[in-house]
Amino acid sequence: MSDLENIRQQALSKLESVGDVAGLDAWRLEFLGKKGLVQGLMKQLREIPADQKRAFGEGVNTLKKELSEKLETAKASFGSARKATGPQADITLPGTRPQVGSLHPITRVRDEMIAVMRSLGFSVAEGPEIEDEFHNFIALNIPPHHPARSEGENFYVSGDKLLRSQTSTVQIRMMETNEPPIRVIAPGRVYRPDTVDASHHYMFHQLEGLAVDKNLTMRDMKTTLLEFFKGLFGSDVKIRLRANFFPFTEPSAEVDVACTFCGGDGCRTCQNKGWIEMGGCGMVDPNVFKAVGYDPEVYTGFAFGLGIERLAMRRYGIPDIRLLTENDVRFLNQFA
Amino acid sequence: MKTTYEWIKTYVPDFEGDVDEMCDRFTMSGSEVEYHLPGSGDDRVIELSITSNRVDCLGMVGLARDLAAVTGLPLRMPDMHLRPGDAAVEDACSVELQDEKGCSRYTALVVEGISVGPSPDWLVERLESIGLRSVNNVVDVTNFVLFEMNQPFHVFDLEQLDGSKIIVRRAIAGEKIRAINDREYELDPEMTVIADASRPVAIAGVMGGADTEVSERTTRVLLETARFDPLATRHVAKKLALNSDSSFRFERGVDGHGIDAAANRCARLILEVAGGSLRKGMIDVGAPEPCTRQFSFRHAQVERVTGIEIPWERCREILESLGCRVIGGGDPTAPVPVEVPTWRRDLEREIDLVEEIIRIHGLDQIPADTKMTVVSVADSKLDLVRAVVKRNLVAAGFAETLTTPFLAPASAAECFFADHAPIEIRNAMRKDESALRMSLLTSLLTVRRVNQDNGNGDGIRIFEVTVVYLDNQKGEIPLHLPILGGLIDGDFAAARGALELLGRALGLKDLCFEIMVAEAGALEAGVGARVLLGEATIGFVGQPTARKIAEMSLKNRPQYFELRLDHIVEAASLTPKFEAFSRYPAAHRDLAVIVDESRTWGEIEKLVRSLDLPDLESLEFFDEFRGKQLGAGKKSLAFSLSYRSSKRTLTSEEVEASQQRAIAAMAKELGAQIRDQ
Repeated sequence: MSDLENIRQQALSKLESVGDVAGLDAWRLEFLGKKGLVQGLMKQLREIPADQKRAFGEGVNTLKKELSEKLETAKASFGSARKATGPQADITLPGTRPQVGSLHPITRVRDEMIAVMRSLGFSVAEGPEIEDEFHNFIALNIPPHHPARSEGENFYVSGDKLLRSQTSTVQIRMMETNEPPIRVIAPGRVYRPDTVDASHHYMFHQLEGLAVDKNLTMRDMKTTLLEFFKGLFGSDVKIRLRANFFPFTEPSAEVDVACTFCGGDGCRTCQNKGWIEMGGCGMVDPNVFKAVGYDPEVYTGFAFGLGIERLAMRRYGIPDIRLLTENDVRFLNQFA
Repeated sequence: MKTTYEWIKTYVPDFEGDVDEMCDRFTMSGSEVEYHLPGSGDDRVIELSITSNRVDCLGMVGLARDLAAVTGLPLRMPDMHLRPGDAAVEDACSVELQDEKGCSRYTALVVEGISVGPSPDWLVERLESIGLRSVNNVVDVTNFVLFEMNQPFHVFDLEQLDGSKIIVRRAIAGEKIRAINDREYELDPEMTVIADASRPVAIAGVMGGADTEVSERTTRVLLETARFDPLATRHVAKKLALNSDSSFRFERGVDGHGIDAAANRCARLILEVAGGSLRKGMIDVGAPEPCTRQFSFRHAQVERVTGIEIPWERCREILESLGCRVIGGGDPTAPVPVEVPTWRRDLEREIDLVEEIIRIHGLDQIPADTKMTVVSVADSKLDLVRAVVKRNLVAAGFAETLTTPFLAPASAAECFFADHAPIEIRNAMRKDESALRMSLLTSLLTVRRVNQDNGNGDGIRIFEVTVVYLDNQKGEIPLHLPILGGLIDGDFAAARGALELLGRALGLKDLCFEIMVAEAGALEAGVGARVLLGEATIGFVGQPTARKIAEMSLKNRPQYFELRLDHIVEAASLTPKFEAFSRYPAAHRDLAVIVDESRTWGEIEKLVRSLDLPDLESLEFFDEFRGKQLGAGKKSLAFSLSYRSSKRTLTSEEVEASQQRAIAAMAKELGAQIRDQ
C-alpha cells in the first residue's frame, strides 16, 4: 500500500471515531494542518521520480479534497466550531404550541363504541329525549304501577311526556318505522332523578343496540358482544353473561368483562369480583315485538344497553362523575 | 336480601361447594351476590340482589330451589308435619272477612298452652345473621318462617282479642292504632285493618297492634296467615310511611298456594320452641285460590332462541327441578303442556320457560362463534355535519363541553329560534333546574363562570353540540332542534372567524352575516350579527348583553355564537370539489384607503368585486386603523388584491390598469382616498 492510501485509510477510520467538535479539530490538525500528514506527503514530492511527480501530486490533491469534504460534512453534523463557542441553542425550552381544542371524554368513548359497532354492520339511530309513556314503558313491556314508572324514577314534563329514562325507547321507534333485518345502535342521553354524587348523576349516556332478523339467537348476541368488547379492549378480552331480568328482553342477562386491571383475580377496580359489569342484554321480548307489529313467530332479535359514563371513567381513570359536567378547561384539555 | 351459607345448606344438604361456589351459582343464575361476610361461627352471611320478577327468592327455600336446580342436587323442604289436638279451632275464635278486595284469603290457627320466652340459640343466630333482633320464641318463629317460606304471619294474643273475634274490614275514618313499634297511626277508610269486636288490632299486611301483641304472659295465640292485596298494601305502607318485611312481600305478591304449607310450618315450629297444643282445623275464609297456570311449550323454541341444542330430557329435568309439572310429554316434537308452580307467577309464557332452561343450563354454555354477515353502513348527514363541526372547532382550539339541559325558567326561555315558553319539569329536583333550555347561551356562560371561579384565566374557547326542545304543538313530542353553541374570549372577528371556518368546512357557499339590529336571545344589538344561509337565519354571533354578563357575574365579556344545524344539514356539501388553479405567477398589490367611519368593508368589497377586474384572484381585508393623522370621523382600511391569469403571466401595466380602476371607483362611489401611495 502506498503512503498516500495508507494515510487515507488512517484518516477515514479515525474520523469514524470522532465524537465532538474538539475531536474533529484535532483530526483536522493531524491530517489537514500545515504540519499535518497530507502536507507531509507534499514534502515527499522531491524524492519522487520525475515521470511520477504529476500523478503523485494529483493523488495528494485528490486526497486533500476528499478529506476536506469529509471535514465539512462532519462539522455540519456536530455544529460548527464557531457556534460551539457562541450562544448555545437551548433545546430544553418548550416549543410554541398551537392552541388545539379537545373532544369531551364522553364523545371520545361514544365515538369509539360507534366505530366498533359500525364495523359490525350496525348503523346509528337517534330518538327524541322527550318521550311518551308508550315508547318509554308500555311498548317495552313495563306495565302500569311498575315502580320504574313512578315520579321518583323519572322526570315528567307534562301529560304522559317525560325525559327518557333509557335509550331502549329507540328500539321501539326503529321497529315502528323499519322492517327487519335491523342492526342499529342508539347512543344518547337519558335522565333519572338521582341525587348527584361521585358516581351518580341525573343525566347520563347509554348506548343501545338492537338486531332483529329471522334466525337471530343468543349465540349471535354473545358473538356480537364479544366482538364489540374485543374492539374496545383488545382481542384477549373475556366476557361472561349472567342471568338477569329486564321487562323488555327474555331471556335477559347482564354482560360482564373480565377486569382489565387484575385479569379476573379481583382488585379494587372490580370490587374483588374479577368482573366488571358493562350493561344489560337479552332477546327481544315477544311482547315488545307485538307492540310494534312484528310477528314473534317469524322474527327473533337481541338488544343490549351499555353505560357510557362508567366506561369512560374507567378508561381515563376519572374518579368523579361530576368532573364530566363541571367543564373545567384543565379537565377538558386533558382529552386533546 | 341476606341469607347465610349454612341456612341455604339446610335445604340443599348435598351441596359440597364452599361459600364462593355457592355465591357464584347464585350470581350466574340471576341472584347477584354483592359480597359475603363472616357470620355466626364458621357461617358466612351472603348479601344478594333479587330481581323484581323473582319474588319467590325473597324466601330461603326459593333461593335454595335455584341452587338445587343449577347443581342438580335434591331440594329438602322444611318439616311441616303437624299433630293437632282434639279441640276445634272454631270453638276458640271466629273470623269475618268483610273486605274481600283488600284481603282475598284469611286463615287462622290457634295454639294454646304455650310458654313465651327466649328463643333457642339456633333461632337467635339465624335471625341475627340476617340483621333481625330476637324478640321472643313465638315472634321469632314467625319471622324465621317469613324468611324461610316467603309468607308473612301475624300472631295475636288471643286473650286480648275482644270477643275472640277477627274482622277484616276497612278502617273507619279517624280510627287510630298504636302499632308494635309503639307509634300511633291514624287510619282512613281506604285502609284494610284486622279488627276485633271493638277496635283495629293490626294494619293489614303491614304491622300488628301493640295491645294484642304476644307478651311473656301470653298462653293462647291466634296465628294469622293471609293474602293481602299488593296494591292496597303498597298504598297503605306509602301513606303511613311504614314499611315492614311483611308489607315488602305483600306488595310484591305472595304465593296463594303457599298459605297452608307456611301456616303448618310456622305452627310446627311454635309448638317446637314454645310448647302447647294446636287446635284442630283451620279457619279459612275468602276466595278460593287462583287456578294453577298451564300453557304449552315447544322444545324447538329453546334452540330457536338460544342458538344451542339442549336435549328434551335435560329441558324436562330443569323444568321439574324448578317445580314445573310437564304433563304427558313423551313427544317433544309436539307442543307439551306445562303447569308452572304457583310461587312462580313470573312464568306466564313459553318464552319464560326458555329463559328458565337456559338460565339453569348455564349462559356460559352458549358459544360466541357465529359467522356474522357483512353489512355496510353509512352515517346520517346530521352525524357527518356534527363530526365536521367538532373536528374543525377542535382544530381551532375549542374544547367540547357537556352541560345538562336543566335551567331556571327565566334562563331557559332565552331562545334564538322560537318564542314560546320553555318546557318545564313537573317533578324537578331543584327550582333553578326546573325548565329545559332552548339555547346553549346560559350553559356556556355558566361554564365560563366556573372557569373564572376556578382561576383558569382568559383564552377560553368552548363549544357544545346538543339538541334543544321546542314545544311547538301541545301533546306532541316536542321538536328536537340540533344546535351548536360556542363561546370564545376575544373580539367579534374571532367568533366570526370560527363560523367562517365552519362555513368553509361544510361547503356553505352563501353564508353571510347581517348586523343584528335588535337584541336576540340575550345577545346585544348593534354589535353582533345574524348568520344567514341564503334567506334563512341559521344563527347569531356577538356579545351577551351587559345585563346577562352581570347576571352571570362574569368579569370579561366573551363572544357567543349559536347555529341551528337543521338548515345546515340540508345545505352542507361535505365532499370538497377540486378547482383547477393557475400555474402562472400571481401579482399582489396592497391598498389602504381612508373612508368615513360610516363606510364598511362590506361596501368596499362589494364595489371592487362589481368591477369584474380581469384576472382578479382574491380580495382580502387585512387591517383597520384609526388615528389623529387621518382626521376625526375617518378610518383606514387596508386590503390586498391578487391578480393571476390561467393562460399567461400578467404584465405590470395590466395590473396597474385594474388597480387604477378600483381606486377611481372607490373614490367616486365611496369617497375613498388612497393612503400612503
